[in-house]
Amino acid sequence: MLRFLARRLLVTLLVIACTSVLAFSLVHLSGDPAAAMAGEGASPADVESIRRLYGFDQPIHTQYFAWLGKILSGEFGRSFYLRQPVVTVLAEHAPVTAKLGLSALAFALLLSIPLGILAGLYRDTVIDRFALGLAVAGQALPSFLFALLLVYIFGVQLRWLPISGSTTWLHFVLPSVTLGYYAAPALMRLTRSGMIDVLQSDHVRTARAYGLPAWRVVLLHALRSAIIPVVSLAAVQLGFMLGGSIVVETVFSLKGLGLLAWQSIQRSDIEVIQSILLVIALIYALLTLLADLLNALIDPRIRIS
Amino acid sequence: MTAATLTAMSPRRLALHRLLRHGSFWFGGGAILLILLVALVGPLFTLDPVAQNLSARLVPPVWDVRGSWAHPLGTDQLGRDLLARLVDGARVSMFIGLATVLVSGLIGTAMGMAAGYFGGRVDLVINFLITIRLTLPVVLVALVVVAVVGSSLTVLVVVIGLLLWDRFAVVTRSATQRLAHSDFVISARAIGSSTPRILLVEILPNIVGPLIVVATVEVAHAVLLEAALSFLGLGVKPPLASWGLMVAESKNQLLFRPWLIAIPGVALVTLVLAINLLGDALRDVVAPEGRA
Amino acid sequence: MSTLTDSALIELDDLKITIPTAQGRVLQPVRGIALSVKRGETLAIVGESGCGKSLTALSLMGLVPKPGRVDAARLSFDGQPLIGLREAEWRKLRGPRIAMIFQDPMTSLDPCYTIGSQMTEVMRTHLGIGRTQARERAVSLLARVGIPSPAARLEQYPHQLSGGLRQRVMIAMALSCEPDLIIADEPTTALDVTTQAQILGLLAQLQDETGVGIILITHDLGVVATMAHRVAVMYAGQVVETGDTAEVLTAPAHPYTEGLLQAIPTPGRTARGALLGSIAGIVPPPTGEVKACLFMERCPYARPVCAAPVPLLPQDGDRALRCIRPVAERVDEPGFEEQGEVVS
Repeated sequence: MLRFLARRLLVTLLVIACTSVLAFSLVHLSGDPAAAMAGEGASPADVESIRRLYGFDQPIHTQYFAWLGKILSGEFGRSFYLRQPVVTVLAEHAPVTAKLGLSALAFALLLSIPLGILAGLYRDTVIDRFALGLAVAGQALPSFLFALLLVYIFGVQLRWLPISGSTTWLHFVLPSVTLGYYAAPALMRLTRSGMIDVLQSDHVRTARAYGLPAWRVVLLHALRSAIIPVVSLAAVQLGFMLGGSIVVETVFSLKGLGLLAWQSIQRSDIEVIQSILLVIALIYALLTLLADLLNALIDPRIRIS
Repeated sequence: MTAATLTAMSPRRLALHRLLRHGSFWFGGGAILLILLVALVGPLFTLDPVAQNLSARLVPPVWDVRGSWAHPLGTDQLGRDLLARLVDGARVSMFIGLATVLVSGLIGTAMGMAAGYFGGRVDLVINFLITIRLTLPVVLVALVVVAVVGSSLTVLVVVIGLLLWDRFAVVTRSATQRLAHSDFVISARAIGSSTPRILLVEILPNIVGPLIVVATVEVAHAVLLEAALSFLGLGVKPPLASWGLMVAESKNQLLFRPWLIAIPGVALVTLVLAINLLGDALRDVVAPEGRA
Repeated sequence: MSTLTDSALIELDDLKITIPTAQGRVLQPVRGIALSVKRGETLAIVGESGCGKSLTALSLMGLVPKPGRVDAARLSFDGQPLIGLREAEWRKLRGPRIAMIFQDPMTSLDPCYTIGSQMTEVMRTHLGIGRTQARERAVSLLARVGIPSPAARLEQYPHQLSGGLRQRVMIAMALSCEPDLIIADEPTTALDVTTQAQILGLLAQLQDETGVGIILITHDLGVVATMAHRVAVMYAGQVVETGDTAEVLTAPAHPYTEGLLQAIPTPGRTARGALLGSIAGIVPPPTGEVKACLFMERCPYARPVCAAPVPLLPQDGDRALRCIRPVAERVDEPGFEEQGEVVS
């Protein structure tokens, strides 16, 4: 277990290192960042001074290591547009995205796991068809369209829920539903197929043969085995949701990392974009690590071997 | 000989039989063919999708009392014919979907086969590449690249293609791993077949089934991604039409002219739904006991 | 208790299990089982794989998987009819009255829970005792089935135990609610030979101590000979011969039983390298109406009269037979090909 953990940590570190190179080169290799930052109609002298100020005149690898060194010491640079340290900007926006991602995941799990269990238990019945239909519809509905649909129904027609901003928890309902609904089908399908497999397994037959109540058989014995792959997928999906919240955040004007990223791209605010890419990659890597730990917690065969 | 061909043929016959009896196959395949046909020959019959007519702006569709057959689906803010733009958008979606899958499928399949067949260090490196690819948020990276490189159809195809190869690689890898230890591959190696020959002649034809299933999923994925990028203003550039762009352009009309969003929206959902249904039907045939 | 010793625990007559398939066909894996088990008695059900013996066992616990259908002229446990029992009533039987031990101890225990938690879960469900009491009971049960340092085992997970130990755990679990009947479905098939003997010995010893009835499902006639008081031989979903183990094994009346016995090598009698007796042909498919003796196709003694359904005919004592031309009536006819007697 310890060796497994050490290996996973090493891989995670390597992945983050490689992602940092990618994040850095993505923004630097194409075009002249200084010209982009100076904006149209800037004089060559202005561009040159920006170039020198941000170190863009240095060789690319020197720039990278300088940047990495700063990042490692917690210095993420300054947003040239917002004229604030990047750390401050991120700290302002990250909680919104975190809230959005977690509530979207909660919605996705609350929708997909019960449905997946029911579809697995009552395979090839109306319930199963309904669940699969919902999954197919979910996968076909682009999030921006679903967002607009929800805005139209609940915000414009029914006027039940706020459609823009992030001041109260009610503001998070529609965005979370939008984001979570897209993640739900994969989780539902995996829960369903896991349940179908486990329900035919020997140990579930044993639980039945010893007269355990149906809920104990389904929830404690079948679901616990079926849920193991779902946990990994949920972590991956949370990562995707945090990285893919751009669309939802722009539609609902949620001031999270996604909206910040979109705005920063339009403002060519390089330091901010890099940091967001890095932060999201870091979170994703940590999430997969967390999923492995959670799985070890659920499945003793991983924990003790 | 006959016995051999029989056993070789019958599972395929059986699969075909099952496919032809699958409702999703007919619905999905039919809708895709229809959209493909519209994309190919539609422009011959529609108005110019980029011609603006400021005196005929925001004309409602024909089923509204104020609509007319001059513009069956009405016009947008700039007076462009919505039907013409819808047809034009079908071309974009179809092209992006198919072209990106060609790129991502080629990358992913090559990597997956190499990882699955050679194993060891090759497998380790490719797995690592897959992990790195997964840590990069797709929409964000695509936005950044399009923002710095500039937007064109080619750029979109390359960027999306470079981002969506992971599932191809994962599926090909595990399928190849299974085959690499199968008797017929081992015997091919024993009679001295070259490695490229084994990969292309022995292994590739046997993983076509799962590859097609992944391809349908990824076509849908690419179509959705292009729509999202265009919606965010960093995909297809006006005056070229894209369904995602059409929704974005009419976002602020949600309150008063919801059909401007509904029309491209329905087109997009229909296409993606059709691809997914086709994919589901193929999955049922390729892997009948439906794993995940 | 002693007055009950002779009453039958399980009485089963003309059991049929039908399973509709997705293709619209109907499978009949079980189509005519009659058997009975008394307290303190071991009945072995023997037959080759696919003959319906496991399904028969599951039907006694109400566990035949959907969409399977169970019908029987008579199916009762301890005088209580089991046909049409509601799920809640079945649950009260499973564990405290009838317990089951499965073939594969590797997969029959839940990998996610400790031995202790699985054992106490069963006891707390049925006996209404608390956690501590259940744990104490689990320790003594594990000790009773011969597991060393039982208290420590409670904290372990199934994958940390060997196959033999896991099967002992299953036996301890089966005993935990003091059932009247234990159904053991191929309990030793997945174990190595020495462990097999130990597990069988343990079962026999526990039966002597508790007077529990045992249904032992096996394909191994050796196991039958050492364990069972009575035996029911199954073929293609039917019981073809039943009776006292010693009588059936020494004087088989049904040609199928005779064939099975000839397929066993006898040390000292079977020559080295010799081919064992075998039954030519294959088992008929479990579909369609039974129009003839199901063994007719493979029977060396078959005559035109055999082309009619054969009921299970009661014989002397406690024996019954599904054959109209029992072995005793055809002494001089050539039997199964005697390939085993080639002496070099």
